[in-house]
Amino acid sequence: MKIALATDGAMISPHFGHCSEFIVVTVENGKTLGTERVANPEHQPGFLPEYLSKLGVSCIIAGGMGPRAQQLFATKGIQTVVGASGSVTKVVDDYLAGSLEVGESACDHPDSAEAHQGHGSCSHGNHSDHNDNHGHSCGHGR
Amino acid sequence: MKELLVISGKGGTGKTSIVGSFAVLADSKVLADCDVDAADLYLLLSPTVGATHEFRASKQAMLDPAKCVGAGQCSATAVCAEACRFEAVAFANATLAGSNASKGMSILGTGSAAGAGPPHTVPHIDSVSCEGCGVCARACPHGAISMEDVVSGHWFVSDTAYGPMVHARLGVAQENSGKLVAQVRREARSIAERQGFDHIITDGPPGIGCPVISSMSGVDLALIVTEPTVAGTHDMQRVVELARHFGVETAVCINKYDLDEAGAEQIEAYCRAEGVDVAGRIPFDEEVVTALVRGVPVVTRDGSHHAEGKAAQAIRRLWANIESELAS
Amino acid sequence: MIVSVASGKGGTGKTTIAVNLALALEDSVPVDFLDCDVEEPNAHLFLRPVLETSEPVTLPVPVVDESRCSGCGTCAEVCAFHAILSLGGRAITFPELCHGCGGCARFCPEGAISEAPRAIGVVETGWVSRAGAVADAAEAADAAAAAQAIRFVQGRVDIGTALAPPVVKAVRSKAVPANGVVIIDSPPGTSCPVVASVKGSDYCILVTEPTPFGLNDLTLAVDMVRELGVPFGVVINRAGLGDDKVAAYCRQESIPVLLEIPFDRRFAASYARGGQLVSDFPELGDSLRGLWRQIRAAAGPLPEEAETVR
Repeated sequence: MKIALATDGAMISPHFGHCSEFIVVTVENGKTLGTERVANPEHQPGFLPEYLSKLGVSCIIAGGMGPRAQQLFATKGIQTVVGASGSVTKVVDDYLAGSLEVGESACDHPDSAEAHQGHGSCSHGNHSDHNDNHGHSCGHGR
Repeated sequence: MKELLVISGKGGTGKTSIVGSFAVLADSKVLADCDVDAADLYLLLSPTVGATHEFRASKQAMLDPAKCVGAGQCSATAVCAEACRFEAVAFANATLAGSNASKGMSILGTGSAAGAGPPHTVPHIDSVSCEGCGVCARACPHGAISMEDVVSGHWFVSDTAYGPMVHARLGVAQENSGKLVAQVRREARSIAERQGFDHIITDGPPGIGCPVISSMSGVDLALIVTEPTVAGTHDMQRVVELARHFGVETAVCINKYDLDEAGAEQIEAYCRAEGVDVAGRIPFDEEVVTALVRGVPVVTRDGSHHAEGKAAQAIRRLWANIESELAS
Repeated sequence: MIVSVASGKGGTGKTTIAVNLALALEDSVPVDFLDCDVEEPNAHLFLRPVLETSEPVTLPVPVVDESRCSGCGTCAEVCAFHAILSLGGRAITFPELCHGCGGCARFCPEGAISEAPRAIGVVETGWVSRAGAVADAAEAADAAAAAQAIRFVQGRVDIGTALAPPVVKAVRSKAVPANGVVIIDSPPGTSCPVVASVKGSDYCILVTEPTPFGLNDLTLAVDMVRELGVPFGVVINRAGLGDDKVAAYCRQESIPVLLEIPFDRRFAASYARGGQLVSDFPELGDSLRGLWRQIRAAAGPLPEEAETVR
């Protein structure tokens, strides 16, 4: 399977849409086989889910992602993991081991109720409640 | 929720004065001061600091002279000095004159090296030049250098009469201003999302380097404040190019435009040619300085109580344009 | 002697003072002018130098030989700037984040990392003729040959490059301080690019304006120069447009106010057009030479003078 990570250098980017680039990791039997780099073509809404889907990506990991983007990925059958942070290497290792801990998502949050629909597509490895001082609930469906 | 960044390229064109007035004019906003080197917005908005946080982004190399065997005993050349690419490690003199003796020296304990006998020459690590790369610490064969966390600055979440404000102060001669800017923005976004504010209005840093780049990513609009001088125009062009490089939409405001109307015309021609909107022109007005000295924005809350001068009126028109550009 | 001109606050008149000081001195001492505001270099707009050389400023960034990389991850562990990532058995580099410390290459157990120069900016050198504007390089060379003209160096970071200090250092490396004065035009602020410009100078002129913004940023700049151990004094520009708190602060801190330049729309208009103030207003030249005498008194004689019997 292929996993895409939103990165700023060797760290997971807090902002899916504005990260420097994506690293796509090919994984088999819990081991990483290879990596590709995908530049982030900003200001092309809707482009990335399509493009990553064509690359065969089945999961995307980022620090945060807006509900619209999450919806778009869901329609392409791509799992989204938000609230990840820290070293890309460690996040990948933890994700593969099933022990990825995520904090609060830094997702864009317009306050209309409609925007929360489709949130059920958002899934996490392990959604543990971290004591961030943000205290906001994304209302992730489970 | 839309994010507006006010930058300039050249310093002193009026960013902070304009942001101060926007704070009065915008209905629902969080303010952010990302000029972390020289933060001035607080002088106009008189924030009450609610929470203060330490900013730790880098490490400093610290020498333990007890473990250092001295220049003479180290490998062929003193490894730490040879490894450092930033001229932060020197063996020339173990003592420094005057005030430098207590500042800028990262030495734990006394100046004598390990082992019995007379003191050897130990390196002096200049904390101002040290970039925290850690190469000296890893290279030292005797484990005499460690990398210590330092507090590089502070950031604050405050309240003002116009809404919440996030600001910061980078420590003197510190690096990582870009990271501190990112922290301020993160917090401003978080507040805006949590409390449902319409806008984040950010007072940006001058220049085009790392703090500006950090303040730019993902904003909805960068308003470039310039002045009709050759220097202002030159610098504006570089920052327009920077915004383009990062795919950020821009608008321009010509401040003090009547100091050189021909120069202002040239800026307008450039903007037309580049497809950049000129969102406002503000005349030179001593009232801006008068208000600054009094510690208030030049645009007053209730315009009818005081006769507003020409700059204040022009800033109101500017905000109206910006507000509608953000909404579209 | 190396004299840096800094401020804390942008727009107070650093470049104006630096440029006009250079012009005011060009007849009395050889001047090396360094524009270290590498993000927004402006001095050339006023000095109009003829540039003779241009070379890229580069930073050594890692290049990974994939055939030797074992995927051990040591490089990623070493890197303090998150500029190298070890994943899937290979090392991925992010050159725009790299500070050029050389750690990854040094500590790679397989010797798989070498370094290659990455261009981050440019440094240029040239001359300013006595008249301030020349038709061509030959004229400039003649002017230079007449013992005392202004030698000019400037740097520019590439747009989108975050790291300014290495370009500042490249500019400073071109200085020839031997027997004259090096005047450094610094960027605004108090962080790393400014430090790279001011560090090691013999004297720093802090230019401010008499407003709350000017005062606030001046106190930060004072902290910075004190941290760097550089003697300094203050020039108050646009005096009269503001209040007296900057002057009071300087008195309180025993900081010498070397010069006060009143706000004058004529000065502003000349500046706006890229004019040389000392040409348009000769009295300013006298004031700046007076400023220079105060700096000499504070910072000591020029190297050549130390050898002359006076």
